[in-house]
Amino acid sequence: MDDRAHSFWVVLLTLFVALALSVYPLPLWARWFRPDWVVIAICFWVLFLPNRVGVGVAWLTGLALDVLHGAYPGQHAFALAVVAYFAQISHQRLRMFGYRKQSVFVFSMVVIHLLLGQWVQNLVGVADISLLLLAQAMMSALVWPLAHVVMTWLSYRFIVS
Amino acid sequence: MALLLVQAARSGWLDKPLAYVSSISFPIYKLTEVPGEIGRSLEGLFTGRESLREENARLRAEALVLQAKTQKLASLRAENIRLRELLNSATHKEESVLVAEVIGLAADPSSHIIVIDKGLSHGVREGQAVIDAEGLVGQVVNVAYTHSRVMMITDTTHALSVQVNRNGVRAIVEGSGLIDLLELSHVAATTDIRVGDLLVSTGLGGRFPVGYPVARVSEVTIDPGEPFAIVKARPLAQLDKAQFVLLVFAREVGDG
Repeated sequence: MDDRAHSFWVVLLTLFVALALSVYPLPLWARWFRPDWVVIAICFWVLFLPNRVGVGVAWLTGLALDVLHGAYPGQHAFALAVVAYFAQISHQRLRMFGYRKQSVFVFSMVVIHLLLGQWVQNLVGVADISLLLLAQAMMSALVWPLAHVVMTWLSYRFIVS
Repeated sequence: MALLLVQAARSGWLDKPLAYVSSISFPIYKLTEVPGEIGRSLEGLFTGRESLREENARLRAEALVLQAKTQKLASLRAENIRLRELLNSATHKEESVLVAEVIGLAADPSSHIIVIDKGLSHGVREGQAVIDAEGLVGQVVNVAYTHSRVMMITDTTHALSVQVNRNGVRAIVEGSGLIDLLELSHVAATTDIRVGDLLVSTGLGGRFPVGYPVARVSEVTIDPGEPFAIVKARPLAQLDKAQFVLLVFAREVGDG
């Protein structure tokens, strides 16, 4: 019972930090290279706690992200739910992979997240597709090992299971 | 299911609840400001007495100049009203401003949107003009209870009507997606517009008040093969460094 309580708070805290980092004020040029922290956090928790964190949590996180970014409500929620679904169906394989292969997976998840976001914006008529979204995906893949180490440490420190 | 929400939001009935729900993002934006503020206060701690004294002197001089400039304002205003009466133009707009702090920037790098710390509770409404000390910044596009979002004039989806201050030629200024570049669309090649011309808002469209400086023309290219001249301008407002902006409240003042 205690463990469950712990894991709830740790997951909530990391998601909150990811949300805050996603709106951390950066100069305009640097914003093209901001890692997609929320996707990283969602991917980590789906791989670490596949039976606790899944599409539902991702959807709620996405809704929070929508509210925070002032995007159309449902835009990020939808994209993150899709990301969580992909992570969940392949979590058994992904957990066996090393950082390099996991990074490739994170890269593709960020691309999916951003592309779906652009697609929704297209639907409502405001779109500005730019290949620079690959830069964001690249940065996310690069920081994945670091984020993984930190969150794994947190998980063991606070006995998340 | 998720996309239904998007559709619902478009139709507008979610606007009211969203304005309140999104207020929870206010503390998060405030939180992301903390590291920067710590940095600034540390900087303040280590600023020498001498440089503070220098800054003080500079600000004093600046205040003096501004005061001198405002001395004539009262008489000019009276004169303006008299002239307006002569011209039989019935009303003029009285404008007041409210200072707002920039607390966040849009996460999406392709949109030029800033978050300011004034919202519905301060009387802010959608479409309101936002300026800074140098010129027009943009307009409010989204209002929550505690804060609101301001689209800057350089956003790719933004356009406004301006005129050349020198001769009154009108044009449409469009955002380019780059923070220091605006483009004038459909300017005929024979138009009298030169590098260095000041562009001011016309007030057409009813969104922006009349006469605020918007940009300065930085480049005019006339290519005989193109139907229109390519005119580029640089926004006057400090769009990428603004810490504080001013919300403009315009209200009709009876017949003058």
